[in-house]
Amino acid sequence: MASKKAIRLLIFINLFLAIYSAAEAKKSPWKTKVEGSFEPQARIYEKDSSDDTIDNYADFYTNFIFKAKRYRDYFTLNLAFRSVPQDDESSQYYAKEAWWMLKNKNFDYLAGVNYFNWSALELFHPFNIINATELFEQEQIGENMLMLRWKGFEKTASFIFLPKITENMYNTSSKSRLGYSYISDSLFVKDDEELYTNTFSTNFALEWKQSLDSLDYRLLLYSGPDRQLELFGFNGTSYNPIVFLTNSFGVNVQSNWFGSIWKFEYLNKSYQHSYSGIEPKSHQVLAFGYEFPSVLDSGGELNYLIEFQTAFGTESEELEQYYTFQNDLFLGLRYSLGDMKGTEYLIGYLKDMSRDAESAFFLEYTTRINSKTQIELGSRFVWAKQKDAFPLGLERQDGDNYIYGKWVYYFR
Amino acid sequence: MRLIQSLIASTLIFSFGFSAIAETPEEKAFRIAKENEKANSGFKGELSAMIMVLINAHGDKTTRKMTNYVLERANEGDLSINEFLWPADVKGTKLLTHAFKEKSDDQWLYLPALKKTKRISSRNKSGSFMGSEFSYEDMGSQEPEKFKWKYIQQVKVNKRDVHKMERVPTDEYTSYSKQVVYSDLKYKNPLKIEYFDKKGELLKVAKFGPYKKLYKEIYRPMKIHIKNVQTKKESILQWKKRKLGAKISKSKFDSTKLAGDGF
Repeated sequence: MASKKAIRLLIFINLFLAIYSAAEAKKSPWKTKVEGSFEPQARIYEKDSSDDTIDNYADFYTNFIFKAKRYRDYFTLNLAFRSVPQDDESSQYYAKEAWWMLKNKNFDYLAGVNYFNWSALELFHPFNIINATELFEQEQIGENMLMLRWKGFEKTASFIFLPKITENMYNTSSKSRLGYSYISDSLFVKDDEELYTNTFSTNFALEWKQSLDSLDYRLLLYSGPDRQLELFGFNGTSYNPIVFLTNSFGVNVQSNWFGSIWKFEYLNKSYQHSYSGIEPKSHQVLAFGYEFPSVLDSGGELNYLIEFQTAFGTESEELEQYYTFQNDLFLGLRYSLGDMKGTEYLIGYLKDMSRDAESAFFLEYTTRINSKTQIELGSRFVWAKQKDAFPLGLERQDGDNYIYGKWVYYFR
Repeated sequence: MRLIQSLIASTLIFSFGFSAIAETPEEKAFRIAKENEKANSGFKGELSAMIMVLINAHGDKTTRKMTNYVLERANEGDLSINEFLWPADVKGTKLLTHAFKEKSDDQWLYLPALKKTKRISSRNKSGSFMGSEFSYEDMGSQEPEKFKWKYIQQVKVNKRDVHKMERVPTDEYTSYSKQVVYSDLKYKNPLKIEYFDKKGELLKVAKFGPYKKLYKEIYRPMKIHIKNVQTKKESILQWKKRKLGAKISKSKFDSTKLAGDGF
């Protein structure tokens, strides 16, 4: 009840300020800009056992961003289009961002679809380095939200209301292996024994962010779907990710100590609902990252990367069902040539420390062709043979080995 | 006898007086550096539009475009932010520096593609700034307290009178064993800096100028040309617009808001 009142108040404040701002802004002209990228890529997968999937394909991705500003009003529309010519069902288009923001002295008011990075452990980058968009094949997209943010120097406090649970961007009807062809729409457990697809809810987040000397930290409180924890239900032909609502709090730290970058994150999660005998237990997630840079005589840079993520607080068998990275170590080496083309290599090795014979290897190369064009080449290999009826940990990606080449053209 | 006494007395007075005002080369160089710092202060805020031309050993050229904002702080190092406008793949990338008098600067890099703000480690400061011959260290603050100074002599560079001084960075992660600064007597700024690597060999030479009086009695270079004598690579930083005395909000230099609004 209290949350409904708070929501109404937030909407009222937003509407009032929108009208006020529009009146104030009449004298001020709009300033606009358009930018984006066209990113065709070719992927060659290791052939799988299914005749229904396309193993080798070209993918055309276009990102279009429109921004407008007038007085204190800011508007952003970020659209993405994706299509695979060999696969008629693959076309997707969606708004990654679509928001309006009003800036008023120390306060920002935002309404629309916007990114919500509530945790470094969020699905799209559980490891900052290996870029889990590649591992999970998911797009980073915004969430529906109303946000009120207070700003001081080197600190911010945000209240974010998330009124609608949206599905993950699985391309469920696609035959190309860009999405999981065998994974169906997400289902959400927001009441005991009830499943929902897209649904309205009263989720919220509170965030406090501050920079101190040599250290940045964030405190987080979140009530909403736990997209990091997905259980899979099999419906006979495909898997349904079943997403539970969580109440979480935690801290996220980034620091420059002894000449190196150190990262740390801790989250405490609890759950209220159950479905079909599944009742996720409260537990904690901890992540640690270390980056040691070394500048070479050639002007290039070598960065040694170590990251570790673990979940604990309940039985490890249960945690294995939830997390791909329930106890995983990542070792990486990033080599930047320091040349005019911004050439960079990344070699990464991921090892599950508690599950037998599960590991992954990554290789990426990026360079600039000219001031508007970039190419990226890469590969991924996962070794994790399925041991039980349901795939756990890295088994979910077993066999999804590929090499790819991407050509990026920026229009800005 | 009286003559001898007065001679002894005046010799003693002279020698005591001289030693009171005499400076060691280290003190003299530091005093000049502080005087230069004082002469360059009082600009309040600075905004610039710059291009950076990178030239490799074969003579191939590529261009970077960026803007720079600086906010002067009274008793601390300045706040500054560089935003890249070109090439297209790095457009929107921001480098924020909170400079300090003695301790190492805090630096952050905002990566728009990931919408993430990353701290730059102290060790990385000797790394190349956007593939140029400038390092993050060169682009950071040059507070006198961050060096050990030594005065060499007064010489001429391009027919101008300059103080030739040696300075050794005190930062443990510096890539230089020393720098030789040729500081112009009138501009109160360097005309040339020679950078020596850890082995003590000449690494880079930076030339500053032409200088322009931009605000009150404050001069600033409109171009810096740096050449790596070991790799033969060069970089030219040229100001298209440079304004001092500008009113700039402190909130622009806030590391928690680097994502900004996209404008």
